[in-house]
Amino acid sequence: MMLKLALKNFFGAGLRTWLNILVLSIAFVAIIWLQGIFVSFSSRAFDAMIAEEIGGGYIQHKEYDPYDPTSLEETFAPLCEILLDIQNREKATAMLIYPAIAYPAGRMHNVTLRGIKPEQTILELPTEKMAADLGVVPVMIGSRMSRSTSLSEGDRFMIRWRDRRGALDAKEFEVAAVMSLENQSVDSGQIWMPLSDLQKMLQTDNAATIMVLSTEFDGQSVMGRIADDWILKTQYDLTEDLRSLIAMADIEYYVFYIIFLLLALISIFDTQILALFRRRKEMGTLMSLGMTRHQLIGLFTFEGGLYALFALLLGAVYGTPILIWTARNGFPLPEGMDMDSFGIPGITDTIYPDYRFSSIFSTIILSVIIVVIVSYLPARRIARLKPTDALRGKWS
Amino acid sequence: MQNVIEIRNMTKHYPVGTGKFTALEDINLQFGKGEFAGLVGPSGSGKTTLLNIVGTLDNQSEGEVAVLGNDIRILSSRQAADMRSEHIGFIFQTYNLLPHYTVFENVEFPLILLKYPAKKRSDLVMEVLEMVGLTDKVKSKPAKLSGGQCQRVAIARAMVKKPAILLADEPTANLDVDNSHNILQLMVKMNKEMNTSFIFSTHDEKVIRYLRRKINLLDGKVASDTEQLNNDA
Ligand SMILES: Nc1ncnc2c1ncn2[C@@H]1O[C@H](COP(=O)(O)OP(=O)(O)OP(=O)(O)O)[C@@H](O)[C@H]1O
Ligand SMILES: [Mg+2]
Repeated sequence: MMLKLALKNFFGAGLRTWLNILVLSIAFVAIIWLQGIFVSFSSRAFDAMIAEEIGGGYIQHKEYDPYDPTSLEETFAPLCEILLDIQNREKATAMLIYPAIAYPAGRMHNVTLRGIKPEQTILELPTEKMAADLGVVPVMIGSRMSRSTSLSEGDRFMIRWRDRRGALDAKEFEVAAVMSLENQSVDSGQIWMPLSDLQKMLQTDNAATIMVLSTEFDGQSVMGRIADDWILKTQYDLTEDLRSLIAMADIEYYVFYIIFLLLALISIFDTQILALFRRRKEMGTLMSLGMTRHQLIGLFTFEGGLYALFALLLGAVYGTPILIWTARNGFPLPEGMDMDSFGIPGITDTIYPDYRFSSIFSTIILSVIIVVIVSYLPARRIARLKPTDALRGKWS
Repeated sequence: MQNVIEIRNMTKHYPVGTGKFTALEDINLQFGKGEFAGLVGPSGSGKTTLLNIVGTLDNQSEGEVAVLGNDIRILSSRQAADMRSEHIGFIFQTYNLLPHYTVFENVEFPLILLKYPAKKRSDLVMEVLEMVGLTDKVKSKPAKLSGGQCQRVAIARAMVKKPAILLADEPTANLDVDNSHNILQLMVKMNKEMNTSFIFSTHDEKVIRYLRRKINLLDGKVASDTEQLNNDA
């Protein structure tokens, strides 16, 4: 009975109803789309960080601090037999990190040299390109670095660094490859070079700053047996900053979520409030026919809830193909939009939204609950409505 | 015979600003089964107020009002709703039909509230639509009907449950002469067939001629209460 009356009233209202449904359905689709992008952002940020930078974690020199470039001159040590052994078994790869100054086209840039074995397989980087015999040291840079220094493949440039006695030394490098990296922290200001060349420049054999572990290797298994110059940083430790960044982005996402939903809710709220004023006589009539206040509140809440229901149906009709298409084909970021400025690494040019069933489901449930509450709140006022006032078309 | 409505020393105040306005004062009235009575008086004399109280839509301020033996002051809002649903029919000056429902659905609605089964509902609806002469309009929406037709639907809706009491607040105020007579003859007929007590509020001479009992209200007081011979009925 209630259902039939609600449906008749709902569709009897005509164009206005459909506009509300349309707005609400757009909000639903936009929220799910946004969530897909967000999930894709965060999972790709993690994936990129693991693939290009941290692998399964670090065994690192205990003084190593990536945020203090000058300290890098002191934070390396020779590798012991045990660490060399896990490198030989391809469970880890050594990285030597050292500050330097580059002079591409005569301009000065502070850079960080990252020495790594060209044949390594731990990080997903095309390090094999540094095996080329170019007569000078073959190095690789990321595309951001390439843009900021105007260096491209085949370009040669000078490097100066302070050797162990504190004297400045110089050497010529050639860009063997420009890499397309998702993670900007291994790109901006970074020069990747063969480990042996960097060790030679620093006159050390076998020294390193970090052992990057394979994701299958448990660093804890060697920790008791190596010198206490070395400490273990797990994947979890190393992703801490990223996790808090994503938590921040999470908040931004909810702000968008709330804005979208609010837009839709305002139209429903407005309709409900208007209904309470315009439909007073109808309510009075229903009361005179013997409907209780609870039934009336139920009726009006239910009518509001129908917006959510039909918006979901409509959203599903046109939203599903849109969402599937964007998930499959991705969509390019607008020209000039740099994701690094959002502080989230991992996104280069095309975003593939990642829709998870669980998040779609919880989004829908949450949105429907909110719609019903927004319908219910104004309807609650009916409880205070006197039948005589309703029939006269006024509120007490 | 027991009265369907008993009003004793009843007064109704409305709060106005800081004070109060007395709309009805010291009313004593009884209505028996099958009456065809009217509250007659100028605008503001308290006719609608009295009908609303009798119809359990409002409460009196002082005195006693019993409807079908129930003291209306102690009814919960739920019980009052049930009372209206089962025993009281309303007819309004402005018809008050549900705009998105067809004629059939409008008349059926009170029976749905009473949880009658579908077959019984449809039989009763068709029976009463026959009486008001609207069997050819069952599927029409109110917007497609004339004022007279709308009021006949409203009468059918009020009478379909065969209530003990029918309250009609100026039912002819929006109708022309022909339609008014039409409606009144219909109600006289139903009053006889169903033994429902009809109480009107009106200042329409056409209506007054049909009344068997005429209660004059003046400034919230009963000025006169007279039986009258009914020529038209
Ligand atoms: N809710 C209210 N609050 C305050 N005063 C009211 C209220 N309802 C009615 N009144 C006053 O009570 C008096 C009686 O009103 P009522 O509506 O019963 O008159 P009526 O006889 O039906 O008049 P009419 O013929 O114009 O319909 C009027 O003076 C009116 O202003
Ligand atoms: Mg009145």
